[in-house]
Amino acid sequence: MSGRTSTRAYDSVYKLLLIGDSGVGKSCILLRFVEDKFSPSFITTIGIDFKIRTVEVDGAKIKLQVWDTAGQERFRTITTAYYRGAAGIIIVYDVTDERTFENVKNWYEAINQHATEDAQVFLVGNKNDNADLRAVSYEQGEALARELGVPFLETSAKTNENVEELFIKLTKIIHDKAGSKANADKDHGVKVGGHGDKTSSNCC
Amino acid sequence: MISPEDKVRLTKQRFSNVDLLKAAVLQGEYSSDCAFFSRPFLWESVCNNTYGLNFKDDELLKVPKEGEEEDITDISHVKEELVRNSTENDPLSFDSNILDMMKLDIDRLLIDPLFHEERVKQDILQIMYNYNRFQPYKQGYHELCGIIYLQLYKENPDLHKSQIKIQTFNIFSSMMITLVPNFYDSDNLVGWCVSIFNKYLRLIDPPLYDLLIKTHKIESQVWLIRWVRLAFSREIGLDNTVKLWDFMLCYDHDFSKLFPFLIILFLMKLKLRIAECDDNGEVLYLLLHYPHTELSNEEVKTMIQWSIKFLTSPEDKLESLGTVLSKKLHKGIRWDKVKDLDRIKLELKLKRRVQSALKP
Repeated sequence: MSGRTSTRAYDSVYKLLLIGDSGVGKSCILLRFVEDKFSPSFITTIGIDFKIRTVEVDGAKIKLQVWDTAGQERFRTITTAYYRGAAGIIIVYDVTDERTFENVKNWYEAINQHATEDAQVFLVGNKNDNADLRAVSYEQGEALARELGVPFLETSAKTNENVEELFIKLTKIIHDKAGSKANADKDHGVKVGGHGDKTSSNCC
Repeated sequence: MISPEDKVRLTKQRFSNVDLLKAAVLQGEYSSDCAFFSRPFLWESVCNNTYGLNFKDDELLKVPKEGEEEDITDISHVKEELVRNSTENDPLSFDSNILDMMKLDIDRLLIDPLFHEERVKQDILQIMYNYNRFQPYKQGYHELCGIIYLQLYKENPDLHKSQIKIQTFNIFSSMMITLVPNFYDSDNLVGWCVSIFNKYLRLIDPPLYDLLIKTHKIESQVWLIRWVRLAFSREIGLDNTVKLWDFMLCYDHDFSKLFPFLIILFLMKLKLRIAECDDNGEVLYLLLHYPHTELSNEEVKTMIQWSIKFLTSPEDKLESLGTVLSKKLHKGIRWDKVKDLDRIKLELKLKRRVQSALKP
């Protein structure tokens, strides 16, 4: 991150990453969060897509750079660049497709291989808007999240259930962690723009 | 209105062999501005001539229905030496997950309403299924295939179903000969970005290279992956893309030979907006949402000519060529004196501030 300007409209920047199998609705979650739109059919993500939204958490303006990744890219050379500098990683599965749930552990493994230790992981079961099609229960999702030691939410990009909550909750966890870290070590501040180049560096 | 058959007839009459046809494309003589231009004929002739792939419609295997055994007949025309390779998987088994992924992707092929039709989806699926026997399916193949299919369909909606499928298959497979190893192999893609793209960007436009790679620390593969895997189609719009493909297919048997130079050209066009970005997130957003406009055939030809000039010039001449191009693209700036785009950014900001202060 370049920290060359002093008049910024935000206090911190965090890079968030959406990962998970193809078709679980990662791009739809991102579209809902950033543009408050929903499309039942969404073009396949090739490589990455990228959107930015600024949110306010505890009075701080946080710029979120959300990277949406292609479901087919796992354990490949190219993905290491995606994980680099990610402050938060959201593993998404589809509650109507058991296979995507079974793959969560593989995605978690990918995080362990590529991401930094302090990256906050969040498990999300998407498409919880159709009870008839549900194949993975809320309790199964919750149990897996507990096993992995990560927070959990079920969302629906279609009905906009919990999408905002997901990003705010994750941002708050990251922001709190960064705050404690800054308190513990004042030489590694996360404030942007206040002191020249001393910025959070959670992108690329 | 000239019929598709007459377009082909007139094209053949005017250009008696493929080399003349290719030369006419590169000179801008045979383009969509020409009354009898036939893109399907051009692509098919050039691909057939260059790569020699000429499968027949009855050679395409049917996609197995759920629970059905897969047909394992080999349709490869290429005789290969038998080599004993160790493998942990049964090489004859077909991963049904791959078929599911193909179907999922084809359902999300939104480049044209044509792909909402079940019959068309089945055609694309069958092409992907057959190509998967040569190269394991990767996301993106379906979209390139769809673009080719769409061009053939637009030219002649009455084209017989089996004809459009096999023609698409042959053109698609030909184009993929260089795209797959260069860009769909993850290791090769990263290598290409670093040792080819970054190298030429540094040689042609050092200030832009410094801004992207050193200042903003953007790893090129992050944004280039979609540019190259889909051969520009998501970045610059379909109409511009197919015009570029006409030239690239005619220029070299390596379809991707001009890719680095064309992408650098597109970047250079956007240089001032890139310079104005405040952080790498803004830059990355621009690179992944390239603000394209419709390019005329003449503009595409000029871009191709510049790319060829960059490709064929000695490396020590590239920077001065880049400066000449910058001057053409962004007038009023002494590009030969610009060593750092930060200065340009400040000047642009100052200029804007003065302009807004002068507004009544």
